[in-house]
Amino acid sequence: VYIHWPYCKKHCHYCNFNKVVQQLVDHDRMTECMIRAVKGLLQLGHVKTVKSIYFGGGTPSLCKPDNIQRMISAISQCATLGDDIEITMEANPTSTEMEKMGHFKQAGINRLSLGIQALNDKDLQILGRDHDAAQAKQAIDIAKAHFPKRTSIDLIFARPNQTIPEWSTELEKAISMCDNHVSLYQLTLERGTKLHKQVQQQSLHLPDEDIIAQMYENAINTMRRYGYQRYEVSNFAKQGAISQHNLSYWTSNDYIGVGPGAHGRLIIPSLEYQRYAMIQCLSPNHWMTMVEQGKLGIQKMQKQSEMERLTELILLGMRTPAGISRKRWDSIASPKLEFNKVF
Amino acid sequence: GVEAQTLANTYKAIENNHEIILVLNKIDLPAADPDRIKRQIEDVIGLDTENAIEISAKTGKGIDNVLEAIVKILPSPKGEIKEHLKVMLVDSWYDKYLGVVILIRVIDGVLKKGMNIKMMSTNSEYIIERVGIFTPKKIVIDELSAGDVGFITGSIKQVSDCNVGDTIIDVKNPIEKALPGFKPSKPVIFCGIYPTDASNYPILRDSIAKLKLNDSSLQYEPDTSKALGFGFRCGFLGMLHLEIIQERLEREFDLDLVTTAPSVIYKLYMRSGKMMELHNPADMPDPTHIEYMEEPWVKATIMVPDEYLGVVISLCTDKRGKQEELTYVGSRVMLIYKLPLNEIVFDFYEKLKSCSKGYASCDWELDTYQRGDLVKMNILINGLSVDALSLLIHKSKAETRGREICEHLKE
Repeated sequence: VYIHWPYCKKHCHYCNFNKVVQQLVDHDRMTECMIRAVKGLLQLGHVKTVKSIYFGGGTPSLCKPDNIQRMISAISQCATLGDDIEITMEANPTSTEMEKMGHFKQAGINRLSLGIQALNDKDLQILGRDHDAAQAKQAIDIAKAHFPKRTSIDLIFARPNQTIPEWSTELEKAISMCDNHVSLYQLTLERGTKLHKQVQQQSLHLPDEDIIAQMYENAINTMRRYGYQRYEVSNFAKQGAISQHNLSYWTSNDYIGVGPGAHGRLIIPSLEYQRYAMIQCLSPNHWMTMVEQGKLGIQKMQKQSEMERLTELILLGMRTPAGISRKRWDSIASPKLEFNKVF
Repeated sequence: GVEAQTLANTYKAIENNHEIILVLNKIDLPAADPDRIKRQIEDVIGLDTENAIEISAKTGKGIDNVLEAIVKILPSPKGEIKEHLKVMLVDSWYDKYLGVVILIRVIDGVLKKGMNIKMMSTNSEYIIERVGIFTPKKIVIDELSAGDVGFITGSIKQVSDCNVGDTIIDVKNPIEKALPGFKPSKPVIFCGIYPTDASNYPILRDSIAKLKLNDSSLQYEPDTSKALGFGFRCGFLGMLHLEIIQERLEREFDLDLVTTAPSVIYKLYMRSGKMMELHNPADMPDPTHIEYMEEPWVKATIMVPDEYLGVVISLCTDKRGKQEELTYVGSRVMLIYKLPLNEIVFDFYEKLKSCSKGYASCDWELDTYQRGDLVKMNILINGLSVDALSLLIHKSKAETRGREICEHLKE
């Protein structure tokens, strides 16, 4: 189950995720709607067991810990929470959010993903982040204290004016402070973001493509040197600390997305057990209204054809070293598209 | 505002990378609300409405802007004046004064009066007598060249000599390859038309022939029924087409008619290995010779206000439909359902309108053939099976539909 908390304190300059910056947030109304929608969707899919829960956004760490507990509890009322269920929350390394970590842990969170992004203050400003490098270090320490061996950090490389040596130094520094899971993302310019405009107007310049490629290659080698296994294009884990939730996306397993703009892939028994691609209404206010009208917040649901499912299987599976097995292929394909026939 | 037909056709145009000009008509009406409709277009279809043109076809307001936009925005036709003549036959009809008139689109080359042309599909040659354009009045001009649309008349005697989609070439400068040609629309719905009074058969025969002259998509052939006598088996492009033809026959030619229940084309796969297309249920072979049967399905786009979503979904499920897509658009829902054609020809449209207080709209197109559990149902009058009334229907629907038809006939 993926829960999308759409609220943020400010806009980061590179982010095009579905979010809204709002001073006054009705936490309780949004939480009530999340609860109602997640229960309805679990029932729609006749879901028996939930293997992982992920609170993303926006900034889910802006939630009240009590509300996080209520959402987790609602899920457990409709389906069994698997043994060793992984419940992850994304957080920003600001002091106000880090203060709540103990409470989040009590509420049921057992894994944390910190949006570190960069370890130099100038770049953090260019990215439009709400914290500085010192706070980032502090946050990692606090996180590791509450969630030992279950803290992940996000870093963005290929930033404006970044050089290969700068990236190498920064990565080594990050490795010295972090826990056992790191996500490395190449900066992507998305239309409508401030960074996109700045680069278009040429007030900022991204590194050359060959340099970016070298940065990535160097990162893989560095991570390997320090014992991190690259188990997905952007994700590295030590001591087997793989993100169960994200792994289930890349292996094309079913998931429910709840909250404005969230995506889902669900087999619906009442619609002849066909698998549907679903997307929730984007605008938080409209989403809440729709949920309150009993529509489960669904904006669009589209039946997936066999070809679409197989295409997704390839697209996602090719991001992992394990790839796609013949058996997995044939579990989705009809005899006409049996693995040996297609390849 | 945006309805199912708007959606279905706009998406098709977008898929085929066509340039689209948005025109909002009927702004002369007091209830006209162009801004609301523009927002609807942006929300539902996602097209930018900045350059939408507001017009009233009734008063003529804004028409100039449309013509300007067509010239400025739509890509010009690709074709070479210097190349050998290549012309597409778009349509043909019979004009009282001019004889057979052919609507054409010149792809390459120049077409002039007096030229000797050939129709590639029949190899027949003709001499062009007149070349002209529609303004919309017919105006005779000297020549039509690459990119032009116009008409020709010549020594062509019969409308039936003209095949829609055919390629017309210059006998002196022939070309090798014919145009791929758009496929002439295939009829999908068939029914039998019989005169109530058998002595009116000749009038019916002549009337249908007259309608066919100006409607190349109407298909018909003589048919006989033990119960209803001599009549015709007709093929139509859809229910609307069927209703229009029926109405015109009754009104313009003052005929009293019996029409049989509309049926579709089934594919019968015989135990012998052969495949047979069944147009007329009366021709159905012995079921023991049939391995399995396939029926045509359609893809329907339905727009309905969300308060009627439940009843519309029930209706579609009742008609053996399969939900493909559901999208909320404002306070309406766009549904895409696959449905068997034979379930919607009878009364789907009426039921859809009535369960949604008229607010739902629907558009459909033929999809694929799928296997179905079909049976032949016969209607007996005074204990005798009336061949013209029998139809092929899904096993689960046979009894209900049979009763509905009998009620209908009773009226």
